[in-house]
Amino acid sequence: MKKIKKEDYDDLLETGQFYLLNKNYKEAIEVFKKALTIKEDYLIYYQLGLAYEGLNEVDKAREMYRKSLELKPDFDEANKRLDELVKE
Amino acid sequence: MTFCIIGLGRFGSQLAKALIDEGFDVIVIDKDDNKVNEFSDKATSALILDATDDKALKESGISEVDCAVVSVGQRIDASILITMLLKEMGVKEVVVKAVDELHAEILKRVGADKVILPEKETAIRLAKAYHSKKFFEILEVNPEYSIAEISAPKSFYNKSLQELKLREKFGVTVILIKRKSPYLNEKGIPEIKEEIIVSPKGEDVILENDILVVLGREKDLERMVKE
Repeated sequence: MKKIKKEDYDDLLETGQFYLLNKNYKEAIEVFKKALTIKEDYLIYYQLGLAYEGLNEVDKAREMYRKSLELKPDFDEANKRLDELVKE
Repeated sequence: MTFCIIGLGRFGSQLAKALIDEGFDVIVIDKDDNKVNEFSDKATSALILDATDDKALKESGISEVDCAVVSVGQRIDASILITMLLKEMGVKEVVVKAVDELHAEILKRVGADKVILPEKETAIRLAKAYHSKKFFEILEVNPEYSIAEISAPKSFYNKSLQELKLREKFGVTVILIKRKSPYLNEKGIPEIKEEIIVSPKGEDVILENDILVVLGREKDLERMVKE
């Protein structure tokens, strides 16, 4: 089994976030999905949600926010986004 | 298969015509004799009666139809009562037109087999027609004009409204532009803020993933999105 270093994971997170903040949503999604194969994390699901929202793929965004909240139910930012999307 | 259409407003009469054209047996019912007369030579039977009248409805013999469609416009109480009567009479499938979500919920609870929210159906139909989610929401202003929320087509990216000439080419006006921008909040977590440009000017530029709220004739909106 190939061992993945924590640094690799952190790199992926950083890269994904960079893409997200620069509105390169498709690239962000690719990177975050890769990170998820290493570890499931509420922040990654949440940011995947943001990227899908950026692409106007609202159903997928909702699904990601829900997954994020399954892992961390009191995560304010995800709760806020989900509320917004349900209103829409 | 036999249908019964109760209420011959715009929706009901269009549906009845379409079903007759498709070769189905159609019974039409309305209180207004003018509306019913229009169908007298086309429909299997055309009846002038008030469908909220329990006795009259039973005597019409419509309990035998395979599907009854109730479309009595804004008369919420009437549509609920008629739905209940039809189900009591044993009509196999009752389809009812609702005016809003709450009305739809009540109709389902009193036994409607299917509830139609026409605005939603229009949006769904359009979405299906284009095999994509280009139309998010459609609001009919009048039978001719609609306001639609659309995802900016690729050909619009990085062009100003002046360059696009949507009003000249399609008779379509952009009412507002919605744009989502990610940023880092004070905790270092990304969030999204929604920017809204109301009554955009000619020099405003459409960006990738923008949502446009546009006003125009439905056929022109479709034409614009197709291009």
